[in-house]
Amino acid sequence: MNILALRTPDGRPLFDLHSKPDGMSALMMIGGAVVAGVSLSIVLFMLFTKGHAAYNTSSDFPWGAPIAFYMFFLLASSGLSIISSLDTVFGLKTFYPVAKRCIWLSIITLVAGFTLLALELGNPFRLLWAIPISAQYKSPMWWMGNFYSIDLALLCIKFYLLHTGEWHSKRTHLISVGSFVICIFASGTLGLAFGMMAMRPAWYSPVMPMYFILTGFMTAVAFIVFFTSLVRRVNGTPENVRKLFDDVLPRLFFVTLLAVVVTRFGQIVTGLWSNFEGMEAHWRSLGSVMFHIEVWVGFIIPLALMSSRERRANVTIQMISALLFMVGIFAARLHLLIMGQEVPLFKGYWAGYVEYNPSFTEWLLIPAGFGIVFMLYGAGNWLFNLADHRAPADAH
Amino acid sequence: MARWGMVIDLEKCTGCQACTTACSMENSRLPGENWQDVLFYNEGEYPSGKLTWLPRPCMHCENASCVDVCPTKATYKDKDGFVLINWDLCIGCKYCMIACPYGVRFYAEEKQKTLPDVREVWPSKDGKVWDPPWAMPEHMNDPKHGVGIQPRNVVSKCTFCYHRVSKAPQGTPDLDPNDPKTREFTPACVVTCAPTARYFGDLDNPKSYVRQLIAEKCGVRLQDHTGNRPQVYYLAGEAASIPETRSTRTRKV
Amino acid sequence: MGDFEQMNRRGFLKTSAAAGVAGSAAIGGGAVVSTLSTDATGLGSRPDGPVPETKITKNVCHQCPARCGIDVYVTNGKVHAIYGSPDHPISNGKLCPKGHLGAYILYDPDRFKGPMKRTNPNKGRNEDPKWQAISWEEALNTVATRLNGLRDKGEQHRFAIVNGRGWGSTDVGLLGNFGKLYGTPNSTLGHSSMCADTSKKAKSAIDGNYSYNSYDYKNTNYLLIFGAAFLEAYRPYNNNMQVWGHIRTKAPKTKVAVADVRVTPTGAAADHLMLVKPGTDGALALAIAHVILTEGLWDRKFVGDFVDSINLFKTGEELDPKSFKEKWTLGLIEWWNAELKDRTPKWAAEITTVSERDITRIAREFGSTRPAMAIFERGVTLHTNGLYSGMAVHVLNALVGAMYAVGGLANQMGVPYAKLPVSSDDFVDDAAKEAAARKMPRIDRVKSKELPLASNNIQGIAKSIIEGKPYTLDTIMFYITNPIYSAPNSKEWEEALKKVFVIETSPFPSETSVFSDLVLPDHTFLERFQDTPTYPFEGWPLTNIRVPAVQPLYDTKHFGDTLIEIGKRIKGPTSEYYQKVGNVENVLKAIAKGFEANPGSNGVDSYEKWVEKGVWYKKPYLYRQIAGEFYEWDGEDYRKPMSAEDVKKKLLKTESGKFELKSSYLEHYDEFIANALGIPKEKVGFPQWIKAKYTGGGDLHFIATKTPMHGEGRTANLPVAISLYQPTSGGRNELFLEIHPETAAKRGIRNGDRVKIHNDLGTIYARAHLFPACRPDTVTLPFGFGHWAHGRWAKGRMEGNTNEIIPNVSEPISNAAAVHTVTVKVEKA
Repeated sequence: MNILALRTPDGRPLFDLHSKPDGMSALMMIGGAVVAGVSLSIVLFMLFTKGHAAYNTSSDFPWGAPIAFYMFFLLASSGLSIISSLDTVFGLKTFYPVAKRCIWLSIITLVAGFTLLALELGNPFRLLWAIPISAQYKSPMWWMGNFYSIDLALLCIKFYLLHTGEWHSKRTHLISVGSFVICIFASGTLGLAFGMMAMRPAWYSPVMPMYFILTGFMTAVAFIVFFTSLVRRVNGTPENVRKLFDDVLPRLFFVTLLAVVVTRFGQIVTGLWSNFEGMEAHWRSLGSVMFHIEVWVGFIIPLALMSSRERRANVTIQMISALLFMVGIFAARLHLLIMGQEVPLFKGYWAGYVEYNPSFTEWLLIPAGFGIVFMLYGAGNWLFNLADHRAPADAH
Repeated sequence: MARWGMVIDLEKCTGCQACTTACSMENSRLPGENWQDVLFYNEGEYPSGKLTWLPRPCMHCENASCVDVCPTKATYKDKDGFVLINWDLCIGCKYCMIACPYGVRFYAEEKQKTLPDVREVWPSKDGKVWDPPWAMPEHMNDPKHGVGIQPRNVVSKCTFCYHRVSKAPQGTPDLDPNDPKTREFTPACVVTCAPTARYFGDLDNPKSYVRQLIAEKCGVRLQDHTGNRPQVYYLAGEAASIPETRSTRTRKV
Repeated sequence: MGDFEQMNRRGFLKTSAAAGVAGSAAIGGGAVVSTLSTDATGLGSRPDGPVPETKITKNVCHQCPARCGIDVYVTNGKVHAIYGSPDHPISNGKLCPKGHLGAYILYDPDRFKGPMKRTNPNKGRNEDPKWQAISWEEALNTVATRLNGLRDKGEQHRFAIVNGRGWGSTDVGLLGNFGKLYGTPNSTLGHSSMCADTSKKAKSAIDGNYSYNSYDYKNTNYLLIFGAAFLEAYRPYNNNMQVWGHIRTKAPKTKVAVADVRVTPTGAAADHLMLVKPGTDGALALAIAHVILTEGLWDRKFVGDFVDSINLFKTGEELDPKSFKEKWTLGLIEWWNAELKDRTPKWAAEITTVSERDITRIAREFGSTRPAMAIFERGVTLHTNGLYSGMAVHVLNALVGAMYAVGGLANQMGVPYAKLPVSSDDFVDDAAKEAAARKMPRIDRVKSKELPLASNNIQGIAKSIIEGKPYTLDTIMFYITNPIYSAPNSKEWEEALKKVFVIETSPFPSETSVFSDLVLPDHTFLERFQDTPTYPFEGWPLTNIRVPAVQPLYDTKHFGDTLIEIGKRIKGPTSEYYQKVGNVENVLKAIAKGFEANPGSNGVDSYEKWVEKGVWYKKPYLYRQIAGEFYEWDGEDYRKPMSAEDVKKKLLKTESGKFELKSSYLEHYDEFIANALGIPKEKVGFPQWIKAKYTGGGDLHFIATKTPMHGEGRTANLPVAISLYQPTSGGRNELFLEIHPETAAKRGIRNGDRVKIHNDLGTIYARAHLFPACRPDTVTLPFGFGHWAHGRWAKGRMEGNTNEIIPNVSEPISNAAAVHTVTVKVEKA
């Protein structure tokens, strides 16, 4: 079967191979492919020659940077799925223009995240059969794995339906509702995977799922602001679309970021106040570069930049703020990972705090992940008409 | 059905680490992969500073958090109270290492601290972590119970010497290394413990000495607030103490 | 105990019967068990497939001198486990952390694979010897040719054998005869002067027993430990720990007080730890004795009493010797008058830095608890004042009546070995007689005017070689010793070994081998036959036998056989003698004949049974002091009274037959001692306080300790040992200098900093770990790292070979290297 020759039910080609990719899409596709290809090749080479010794993880610090990076992509994916659902589930028509793009981005960030996870796991292929058959309902990771698998499937179906113009059918709605619920559950259980760990107090928090969903959503907002700005044509944009980009999304960005900052502030203050064993990680974080990148680059500067209506409407400011937040939240994911593990569990007086800095191989997973995202985003932009926001059947 | 448990008398323990090396050789562990570790703590200052130590096997918890978090049920609670890893199911996600409050789990794929790397000096030909000449005889390998040298990319930990203990006749209340009838079934660390600071027996058996010791000498479990309910109990005696801190919190230096 | 061992044995034999005959790969005696078969308990074995046989061979651990009997598990020709032998009285089925690592030693990938000769004439640390593998025939002939050449010239004395840890009749036990037959005074140059000589001398000076003591720890109620790492490095370590588990939980619990210069595990586990200033243990012991006397706590039945039973000991007041009637001691009042009357806790507090309150408290506890005993080791004696400090501690045992008492100290009985069927005396020829007649001094100058009381002077041999005094050496052979790494001022040896033909017999690529001309590699302990009589243990005699667990892995040879083979190649009747001796197995079979008349407590009465059980021992110890009277075992109990003559002959072998608080032995050398130590001639007999001399010119005391993972040069290259080396200070894979935070702060040193440790002699480096519990004036760095050879894991691991900054200074009387005298400066590197 020739996949590329597949057609939608209404007879259009599934993949629009006849149109030529625009310059930006081509650049993203090729650039992303090269970056991802090179970095993944090096990572795989290191893994095959050195095994997991290529990473700076240890038995005292089992979860390394790949987990943080994968968290970043998965939570962004869930956030993107939520944004797409604002229209498809909640009928907030303002978000029509980004719905399809969000679903696509949600799919590809999920793919990137899973790729990084596979590179962190000891036996990634075993997971494919061992998780489904285990039925270990007590493990947040079991739920998370299943939810994200279903999430990916539903996202694909949803995207297919939208792509084939089925925006407002009953089954699209059902799929959309399902996809929304699942992505909340998926990112929530990812939060539980950390938040349930009472033995690691720096992580232990019943609101960790909420924090994950919120920051995921915020990441998604930044993503969509950033990625749309890359391919946006100002001229000829309809009024409703312009309103979305000049007013609604920036305001959503600002308000959500405010919510993130408030939540995070609560965590930091609680951490610094608490005498509980393991919470000293919060004190140690004051001396950590990642923490300051998170707070200053990710929170304070974008918040300041986006605090006035005029600046918010500026595409460049939007793009910079979105980029800064993405850098900040990326650091935040890594920092969270370190906080929970740097206070050793029963390693004796001399063990000291666990020092962890990602190895070169681990850092390479960043270009690998983003390379995948850019490559697929460019491809999507080219092949799937991501700017589409109206099904032909019910065009207004 | 038994519920095997260990009692460690800190008043007798001399911190010698023979348990660590006995385990290391019995189970062919890598240097530093101390399934049975001894942790040292310093408190106070000259001239009344203190040095204390705590031997730390796997606690084989009743409510083991490592079991609960394992997404593939590779880590499981055996009917006789062992917490074991089925290496054929382990995907190497290391979540169990995150979830164990006692830091007893190892992932041998990491960088080796003692160099040259023994894994390169005695490499395995069949995908295991290494193959030292003194490895336990092939027929004793039991990956479904985490016994023997592990295949690559899986998590390992103390098995309570499952390959020895599981051979004990049913209903045995205690595994006493001084009793020739039970010596070969007793975990390596218990066999070798020179001051007899370790006792091993069935916590469910009313006749077992471990139960008596826990009752008479006020056995305590580590980090009981986690609710893991370890099957390893410590006796603090009068000249020993359970370290108050698991971390470096009280360090002044 | 007896019943238990019998039962244990039966258990094993039953399994062995079930499992069948011995595996072909494993040789020697021993039981055969299947580790999976549970026939012994009447249950079925694993159903799937045939289970290979596992054979247990009896052996003796080699990683320290404790002589722990071990069971070596061999399956499919591979050693895969080592455990203590359950029926062995020292190991009792237990082991210390080193004991389990034997397989690492056997399978050490860096072992020598066969005899080799050097082809690079240049010697140096970084000179590749350019080894060329040779046959044993060539190797042995090379040695024989050299030796015969010297013999022809009448220069046999220019051949020397330096030995470390001896094991028994088949190695160091052969050296004396070799020297006698060949004609060199240098065949038994032992390492004891880097070890226990001062400790032994201190004891023998006052109780006549030039040895370690045997101890009845299990029955003591108070253990006062001076400078002995009972739970780290004090032999027999494994058994000490067994004892510890017992005495600390028995009723009544044995109280333990420790005086040491650093926080040892022993001190940490004890009830009291007194952190004394290095070199001042003697002052502490004297103050304790002072309190015991002034407060009337001494054992009157053993020591005696004032004539009118009123305690006249008052601080600072001299007494009339006639006022006191001594029983088993000699010179108490003279000692009091000459030394002890002013040795108050207040006085000692100033010297030792231990508080007066603590000293008094410990003295009262120790003096008022029975049975109590005081033990001491190198922490006390490896100082320039070590002899007298050791005596001061040992005297406490007399004061509390611990000598030969229940819960006290005794001597070790010898093993009734049979003699070899051939007598070396019948083979001494003219060449050897002429050599003896020349009365050449030993190369280490022992028994010369310089060292009249010394037993050995291994640390002085390098100097002798370099200076060519008393003569130039031609050939030197090393057995289980590596002074070029382990002696104080070890670098001196690098010069010395360039000047002589060096033969190394280590199985491992030791530092010595780098400077060797010929390597005649020994088997490892799991591959060889060897007898190993116990060091002093519980008094009753005990001897083990090593039996190969596996065939030698490489083309190596038992050191004893190497020596015998060389002997066979020596001209004259020597050759004939060694032809008759044949090999070490013959020696073992011959000496085991002695068991026929003396069957052991475990039924061993022949060579075969010895091999099977691994040990011969005969309980009980034959003598006991009960309430000031001595008795001998009559077959059922200690009921046969001993006369004063019996006691002198068998136990207190001093001139007076008493425990001499005024040592007649030392008084014979009064002039020498007075000169050497700068004390009045009339005082040399008394245990007394002499100020320790500190060396090196630094401002911090430097203590190079042994850790439990250190196995005397056999464990240098074991990755597991390295990974666990110094746990108390966090030393895993590396060594840390323990330093007090204030001391460090003054020098700008932070935790984890690399520091330079230097003094007059040299410089080494280490990383600092700030340890608030340690003495601010003392830093500690365990020895054992800083190897520049010895295999891939040992070599180059850390820069800190402590011996490179320890000056070669000895206690002047006994001549043991006073390694704890050293001081250093520490700064941030």
